[in-house]
Amino acid sequence: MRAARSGEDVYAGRIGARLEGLRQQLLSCGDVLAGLVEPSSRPLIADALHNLRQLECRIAVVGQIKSGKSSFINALVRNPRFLPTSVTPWTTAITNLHFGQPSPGGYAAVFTFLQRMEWDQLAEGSGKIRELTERLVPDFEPELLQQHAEMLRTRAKQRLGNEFEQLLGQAHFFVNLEPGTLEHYVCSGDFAGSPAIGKYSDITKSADIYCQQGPFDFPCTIIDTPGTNDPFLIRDEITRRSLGSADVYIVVLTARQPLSDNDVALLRIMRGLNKDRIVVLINRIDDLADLDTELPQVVSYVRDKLALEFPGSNIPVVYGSAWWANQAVTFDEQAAARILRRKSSGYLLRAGLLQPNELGAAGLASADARERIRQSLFAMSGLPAVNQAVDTLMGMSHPTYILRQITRSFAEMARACESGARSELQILLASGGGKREAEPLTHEKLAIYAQERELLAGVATNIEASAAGIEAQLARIIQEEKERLRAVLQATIETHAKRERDVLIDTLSRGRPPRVWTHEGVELRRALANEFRSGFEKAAHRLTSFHARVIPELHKLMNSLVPEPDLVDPHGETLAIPTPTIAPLSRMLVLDLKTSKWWKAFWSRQPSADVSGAKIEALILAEFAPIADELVQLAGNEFHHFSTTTIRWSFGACRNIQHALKRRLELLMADYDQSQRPEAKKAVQDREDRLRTQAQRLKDNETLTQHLENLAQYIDTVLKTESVQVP
Amino acid sequence: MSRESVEFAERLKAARERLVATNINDAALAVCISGLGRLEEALRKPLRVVILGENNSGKTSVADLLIGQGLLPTSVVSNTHVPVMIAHAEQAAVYGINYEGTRIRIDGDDDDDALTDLSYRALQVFLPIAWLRGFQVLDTPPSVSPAMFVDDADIVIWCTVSTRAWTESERAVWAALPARCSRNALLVATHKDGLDTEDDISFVTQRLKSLTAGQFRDVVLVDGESASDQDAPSDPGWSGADDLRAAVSRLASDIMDRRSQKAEKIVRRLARLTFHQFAVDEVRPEAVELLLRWEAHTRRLLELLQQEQTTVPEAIEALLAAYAVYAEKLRPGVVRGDDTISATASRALAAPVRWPRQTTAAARLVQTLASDLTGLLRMLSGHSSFTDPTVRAEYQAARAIVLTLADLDGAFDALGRMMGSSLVSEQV
Repeated sequence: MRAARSGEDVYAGRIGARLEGLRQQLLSCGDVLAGLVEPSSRPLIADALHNLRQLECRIAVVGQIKSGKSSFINALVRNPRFLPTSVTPWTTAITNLHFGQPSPGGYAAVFTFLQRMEWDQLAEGSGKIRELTERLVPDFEPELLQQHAEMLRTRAKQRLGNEFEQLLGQAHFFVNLEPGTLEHYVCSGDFAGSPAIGKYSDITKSADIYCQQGPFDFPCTIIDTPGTNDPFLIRDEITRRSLGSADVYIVVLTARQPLSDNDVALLRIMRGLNKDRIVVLINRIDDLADLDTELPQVVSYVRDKLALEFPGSNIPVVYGSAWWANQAVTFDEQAAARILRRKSSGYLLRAGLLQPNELGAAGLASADARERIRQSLFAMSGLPAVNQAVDTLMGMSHPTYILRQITRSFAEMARACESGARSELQILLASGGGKREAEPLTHEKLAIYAQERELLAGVATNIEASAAGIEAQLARIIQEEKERLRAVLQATIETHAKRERDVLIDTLSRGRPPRVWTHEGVELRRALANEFRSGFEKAAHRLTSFHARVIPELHKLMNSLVPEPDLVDPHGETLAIPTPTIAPLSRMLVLDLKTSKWWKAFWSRQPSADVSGAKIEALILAEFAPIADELVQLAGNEFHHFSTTTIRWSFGACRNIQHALKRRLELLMADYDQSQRPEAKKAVQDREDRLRTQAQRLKDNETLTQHLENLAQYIDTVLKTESVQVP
Repeated sequence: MSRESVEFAERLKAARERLVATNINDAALAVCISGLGRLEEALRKPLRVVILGENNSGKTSVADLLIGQGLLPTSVVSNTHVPVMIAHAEQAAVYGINYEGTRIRIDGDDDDDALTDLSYRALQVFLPIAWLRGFQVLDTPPSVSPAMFVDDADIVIWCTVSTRAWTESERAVWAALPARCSRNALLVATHKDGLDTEDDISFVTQRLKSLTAGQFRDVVLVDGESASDQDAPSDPGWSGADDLRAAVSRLASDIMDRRSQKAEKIVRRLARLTFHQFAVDEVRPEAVELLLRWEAHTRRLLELLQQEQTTVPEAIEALLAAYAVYAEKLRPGVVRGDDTISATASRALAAPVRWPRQTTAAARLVQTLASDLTGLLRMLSGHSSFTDPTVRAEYQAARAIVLTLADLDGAFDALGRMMGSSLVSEQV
């Protein structure tokens, strides 16, 4: 896995450097904070540190078959022979490339095979689609899927023999990844000469590769997916299933057929996931014969069409050639010949990046010229621009949200700690300068301490009661909002189903054949997406404004502990709740089946127009209800995460102050008891030490708070302005 | 186009011209002549090649390769917005069909602008290119439902890009087209230059053949742009234009063969109908009884056949024998000697013909023969209303031609020749 070669520095653009800087700072801040907080708050910090260590950015590379996804990833990791590629659709399994993450068990690669049940589903005929056709027309056998399934069965048997039975549900582990190993697992192997290629591909569910080097500073997982629009429908389904889980999506198009209907459909799904997380890469510009005129046309065509299809979305568009980048990495005489053979070489020559005389054997003999050419070629390949775009997108992705949330939580805790420490210091100072002569005051002092302790206990009860109350209120709000959201979605589906029924009955009763009716699946999905988004926003607003109302109450509580004016949160606005994915909407349904023969069989079984109408209405309701449920569930999860993290941390901070003061009072009372004894001289010494330590602690704490607040400010301002500025 | 079908068209033309030359004013003959004319026209009509494919799949480049000239505008972002029909004419011309259906000539000084003008519903390009005498090319815009373009297609070409050939969306669109499209379809993988090695080319070809088995007659890889590009590889076969034209020619010759077979059948029926029409003359009184007896005889034969008491060859033999007897009675001397009949008949029956086994089909065949023979007998039993011997001679000639045309079916070949020649040779 030697990704990088010589001349590393010129291949501009490390990805995620800023986020990694933040993460590292937060990790060390967390360690410092853990030393400052009360023991009861430590699990909270430990949790956050654990999350920080686990944090990664998942980048999915998606697109139609043969758009050059694997080649692009190879260019990204600068190893042209890393992921196997071919001229026919090649990638069959989801391949996860892990960067900057320790591999479990120290393995370099793990290939997970399908479970017996998953295999049975596939082998019985493309699981999902088979299931869909079954729901539409029970007992109707679609030949194509049968054919595919049969092909899959015989091929797997032929490739694996008896071994096959034992492999299901298992995994293969490799300590070292030899070249060629991947080809056995993630390539279709169709039409390849060697039988070893693709040997396990029919039963490989996913591959996990742990890479030592790569262009990423922040821990990342690159997900290579089988192409969509594959006539071998099974692979398409595998890709669809994998789409929901990524933080950033790189949608790869080919310059020759940019943004076809299938690409737009894919983007619609992506946009459902989250439009802020997409970058569109027009790959294979080296395929164009006349780059000078065609490239600007293609790019503006893609930009215009994106603007038309997704108004106001501002999806960044970059273009390039993974092929050029890969040729640059292994640049030699043959690479030069390959480049020259393409019509696109004229562009490189005209742009002055290549000199015709340099590409001959004589020119290439000079190491300087070679290096210069490969650098230019890499620059022309567009890879640096892609890195830049991905880096920018990462700044708006979920990991950044988590970083921001942890920064805020840490800052809140640090401020609470600071207030506690300051109060402690005051208590220490006020504990009477250690004048042993002040005997008469003894009882008075003890009484004050006891009173304060009672007060603290009262505040503690208050905190707990208030926390329980707020948590209950939040739970109620979340429950209500989920119900409301469900009702809105349900109503949308019902209205749509009724309308479709009426349209169908009307069509049929006019004596027109049922095939003139088609289900407006896109329309309903769009409506549901809009309802879901606006419903979610309303609910999120209610939650955040409730949280905003809770904050002053918390401050009141804190004030009753440590009467200080500067406790007010400098970033008054609460953290927005990130919109969850609407991936369930992209799931393929019975109603999306286009093949007319299935529908023909369906219609032929309906006795009358009214029955047909009722059947369709019932079908729409039945198909979309689980999707609505799942959306509501996803929204609920986000709400729940918000309420637990924010409330947990806010009250955690409160409790931390209360615990600190309680501990300090108990210490003082213990001291006092001790001071009554004859060997009390030492106590004076202790007290002075304690004063010094506490002062130092406060100073450290102040520094930490300041640092965390700066970090929070940095995330809020720098990353936010960037997200606005994306072209 | 195969030699046989060309010869057939020539034969039809000769027969029609001779019929026209007979100078007879007869409704039945007029119908026959115009029918033959239409058939000839249909046989000579250029084959319609419809080019389909997704956005930027190289449809226009393929049209260009077929025509063999860099005449049509190609550009990378889908630019054929309207269907473009390319056909033959002695003078080059470009017409636009606007939304009112009016045809406007638009080739002027700046035809490229006009070609991509969106205000037309369709474009027609006429070029004086020899190849276009046999073919008409329809270059289509990318469409969700290309079915609208294939209604009158003879050959369908589906264009796919070599480097991403045959996707699910292509398969779905293709599967939705009428099944007959697959009968004369070519899968053309364009932009072959995107494949670097011979191995790659063979992988892609193999994959396409295996994935589309049964859906296309052939798979051809082409590189449309190199044809007009001076820097292109020097190998003249590289562009694939020759392969493409050869594949199209193979399909065309199959189509023409099928067409002429179909036309032959139509001609036979047409001719038969015509001479039946000729036979509706006035019957001589003394012949009426003979005709009635003949008809009763044939009815009985058919009944026997239906009850399976006789076989098809037996029935035919009996019919022919009876015909000879009646013909001789109606006009003595028509059949010269019994031996002629039996010899011809047995020769005809010995011809390798699969006689239908099913009773109904057999009955239908014998019925056809019986009605043909009835027609011939009626002609013999009529007395010509034409006193002018030249007109009569013309009629004789016309009948002979029509009978020859009617004569093309294997089993009746000899039979028909015998009867036709006997009629022609008869001197009234």
